[in-house]
This record gives sequence, C-alpha cells and structure tokens, in this order.
Amino acid sequence: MTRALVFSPDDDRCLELISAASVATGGGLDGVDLLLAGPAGEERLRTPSSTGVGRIVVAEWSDPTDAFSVDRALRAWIGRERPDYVLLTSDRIGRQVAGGLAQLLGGGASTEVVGLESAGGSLTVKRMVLGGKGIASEEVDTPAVLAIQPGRFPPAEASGTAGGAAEVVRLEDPGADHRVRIVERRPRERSGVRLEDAEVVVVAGRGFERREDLRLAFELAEALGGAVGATRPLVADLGWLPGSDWIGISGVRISPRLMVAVGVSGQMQFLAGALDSKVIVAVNKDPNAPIVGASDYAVVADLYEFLPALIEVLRGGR
Amino acid sequence: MDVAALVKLALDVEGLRAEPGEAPRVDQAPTKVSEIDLNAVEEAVSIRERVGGSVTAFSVLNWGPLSRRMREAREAAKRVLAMGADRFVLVADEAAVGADTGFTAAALAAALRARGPFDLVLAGEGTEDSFGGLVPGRLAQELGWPYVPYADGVEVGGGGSVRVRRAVGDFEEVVEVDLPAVISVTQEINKPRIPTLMQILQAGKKPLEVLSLSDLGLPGPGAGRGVRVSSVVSPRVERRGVVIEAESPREAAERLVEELRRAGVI
Repeated sequence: MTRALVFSPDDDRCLELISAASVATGGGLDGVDLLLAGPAGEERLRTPSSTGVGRIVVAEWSDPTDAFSVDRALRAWIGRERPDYVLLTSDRIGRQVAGGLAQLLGGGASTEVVGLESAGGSLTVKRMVLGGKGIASEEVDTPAVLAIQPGRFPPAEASGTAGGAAEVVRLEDPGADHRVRIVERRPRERSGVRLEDAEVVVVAGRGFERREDLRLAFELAEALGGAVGATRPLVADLGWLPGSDWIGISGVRISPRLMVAVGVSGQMQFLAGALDSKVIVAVNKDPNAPIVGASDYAVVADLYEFLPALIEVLRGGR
Repeated sequence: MDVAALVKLALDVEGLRAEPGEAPRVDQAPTKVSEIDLNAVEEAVSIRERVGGSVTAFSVLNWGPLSRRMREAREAAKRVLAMGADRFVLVADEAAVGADTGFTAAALAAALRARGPFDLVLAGEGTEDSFGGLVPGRLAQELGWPYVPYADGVEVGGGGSVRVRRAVGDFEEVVEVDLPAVISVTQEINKPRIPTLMQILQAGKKPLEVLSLSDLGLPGPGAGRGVRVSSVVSPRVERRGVVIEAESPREAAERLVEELRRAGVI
C-alpha cells in the first residue's frame, strides 16, 4: 500500500495536507499517517482522528515551531516506516526539512506546490516557477517529499464511515543532533495584523518619497478596513516599516480580497507574492509600469494627489 | 576559513516573455547569477576578509542550450570573481541540463569533495527562477553536515562553530552550528558589493575551472529517479485591466470606488 506521512506546524493546515495526501496516495486515507509534534491530548486528537487517517504519530517531546526538532521527529518516523510520500506545508519549516528528507529517502521533492494530479500510478505536481511567469508540471517519483502552499486543498472532513478512531502511536525521541544548538529564541516583531490573513492589503512601494508619507497608506488602509504591507526596498533597505515582513516571492505571500498597490512598480519578485489577490488596484504615475498591466483597476495618477481624494471619498461615502 | 559559495545561473525572469497558456520562451531568455546567491558570495568574501582563508564559488549549469549558457556562465563567473571570490568551479555537462535538485546536489557534493576540504558552504535560500530552496538541504544531507537555512546574519567565532541569526515562523532565533556546515542566506544578510573596474579587470586572471560529470566520476542522472519537468505554461491570470482616467483626482477616486462597489469588493 502507498503510504504518506503528513506534518504541519499548524493543526488546521494538517487537515489540508491530509486531503492532499489522499490525492497523492490515490484516494484512501488509511494509508495516511499524521505527525503531531508536542503534547496531544484527547482534544487535539479528536478532529484529525475523525477524518479517517490511518495512524496519528505523536512526538510529545517535539516542538512544532522548532524546525530542527520537527526534522528529528520526521527522520525518526521516516527511518522506521519509509513512507512513499512526505507532505509538508511550504513554509520556512517545511522548506528547511524538505531537501534533506528527500536526499535521505533518495527520492524526488517539490516545494511551493499548488496542485497535485494522480493518474495511472504516477503523480504530477504543479508549482509556480519563473517568478510567477510559469506553472510547471513536474512528474515526481516516489519516494517524494512535497511542500504544499497553504490554502490549496480543502481541509479533510470528518468521515461518517470511518467510525473508529485512528491508531495513536507514540514516537520516542531519538536524541538531538548536538552539532546544532538554538542559543536564543524570541517572538518576532510584527508591524500589526498578519498580512497573510488580511482581507484588504494596501501595499506601499518606492513611489512614496518620505517615510512620514506612509501615513497616507495607513489612512487608506483604515478607510478600507485593511492592513498595510510594503515592497522589499521599503522594509529591507530603507527600514520604513518595522519588522521584516515584505510582500514577495521570498517574503510574505498574500491572498486578500483586495490589494491596492500604491507607488509599486510591479517587479516579478513582488508580484509573485501577490498573485493570489482576488482584485488588484494599482495607483501609479507611470502608465507603463508593469503593475498597471497586472491589475484589475489602474489609476494613473500622482499618489500624493490621488490618495487624499480616495480617502475622502471612502470616508464620505460611508 | 575555507568557504564555498553556491552560485546558480538562473533564468532572468524579468527578461522572460510569456503569453498566457503558452510555454514561456525559456531558450531565448538570458541567465544571470541568481540574486540571493550574490548575497552568499558577499558573505563568503566578507568572512574571508574578517578571518582569512579562501572563497571558492561552485556552479552546476542547469539550463541549456549549453553553448550559449557557457558564454553567460563565463560572464557570471567574472562577476563573482570580481566581487572577491578566489576561484570558480563550473560543472557543465549536457547530461546535467534539466537535472533535478537531487542530482544537482550530488554533483555539487562531488565537486566540493574534489576541490575541498571546506569549512562552510553558503548558498542563497532560493533561486529566482525556481525558488525550490531544496539544493542546500540536499547537499547538507549528501555531505552529512548540519544545515541551517535563512541566515539574516552569520557570526564567525572561534572554536569551530558559527552563529546564525534567522527568523522562522513567529520566532527569531540564534543558532550555533558546528563546522563544517551548510548555511543558506536571505537577502537581508548584506548588500552585495559592486566590483570596481580594476577588480573586474583582475577577475579575468583568476582561475575558472570547468568540470564535466565524468571529471567528477559521476554518471548522468538516471531514469526513474527524482523529478522531471513535463511542461511549463504561463498562468492565465485574468485581470480586468481597466484603466481609470479622469479630469481630477476626486473624479478618479469616485470612479474607482464605484467600480469596486459594483464588483462587490468593498
């Protein structure tokens, strides 16, 4: 039987991966094993158990937010069971461990996966490449490690027929790799709402001339009930926004209902992080800026004249 | 400290033409050093400047056609050498074109062993064209070395270890790792230097070594293993493309708000 091992640091994402694993293994969920890192009482086991997964592997000693500890747990299970597929979320933890696990298994690997198709015993993976300019179809041999983008598969639901709860297996700690030691750890500074979760995002780009002018972006975001994000130069080079979150292929990927890109030229590295926005509005002085061609609505205007007018209309109209 | 920097000749995505539903014209697009790999080179050179040692850049050519890519690779090597790398090792072989990340890692491991030993391997956290981020982790596994990705800072102390500052999920971490190790870097770690004209002229005299797979004692990537790209098409992103023109900012604002309300977005 084809077997899959599933892990995500986020329990809700686990359910998405269980759905994905069912595609990869060709339908049956009894071949899917779920790794839960950290203590797992009745409460935490209930939902995944009801989906019909084969086994729930509990690594009580493991910390789901510590990539090294997660890697250790995955390796312990993989060494024992040699699954055909390992499914992870394509976040920094998933991408950290994916390469090493694939080389350990001697198999294929794909990250940033947006879709899976299984036909005739072979699995085709779809992933975004070329800075968002291409969707590659990749045929992946087993064993394979797949890191899947969040939100691409529906969460697995409680199955009526499975009835019985999944078998729970406790995984022993194989011991740490003493060559790597976390000597300091603290929660990250964030500038506000998680951009990944925001329904409306106003993105500020290099069109803003001074740091204090960003108040226009914040006022617009407030009027729209959204969050403010920025392109890489504003955060990384200029330090105009606190924290280290910018929108782009190597930064945060957003998927809001509405993105308003203000003074953003629209380079691929940025656009690839915002392609999942439902509606894109661009405000730019330059009618030839790439963002204009990549938007649903483009206003060719000076942001310093247009934003105050837009904020006023939004406020007045409510 | 002897440092190896991994450098990919990535497809220049800005220069890539793509029509929705069709395959992007990959053969016609130029390649260049992937941006984040320049950060890896910069970090390697600045480590050598701080503690001494050497910097060797390694690259495996993934894109064909080989004749054209070789020309681009020589230019790329020159840039990396001008930044301060001491030598450049290029693995170029028809059989390695289009190889998957597992094979690329195996080729890099063989080249590193052949031209080593090294204390540290640095690479970008991902490449612009593919952004899989798999090669450094696969290489670490292949070499049996620890792997610490996403370095925003690398501090070289004494005692055969380095400290890596990085952010993962909701946490910032400082990770101490024993050498030899593989570390991937983000664009935050530094600003790659722009070589001077003199450095560019001198780079031409630095060693560029071209190796084939047989030089490394490697067979080509075998069938039935890994990942094969069967097609690449440009996504059909359906954007409405409405350009709002108006006499005044106020009028433009009113029209935009009207459009957004009609579309049910606000």
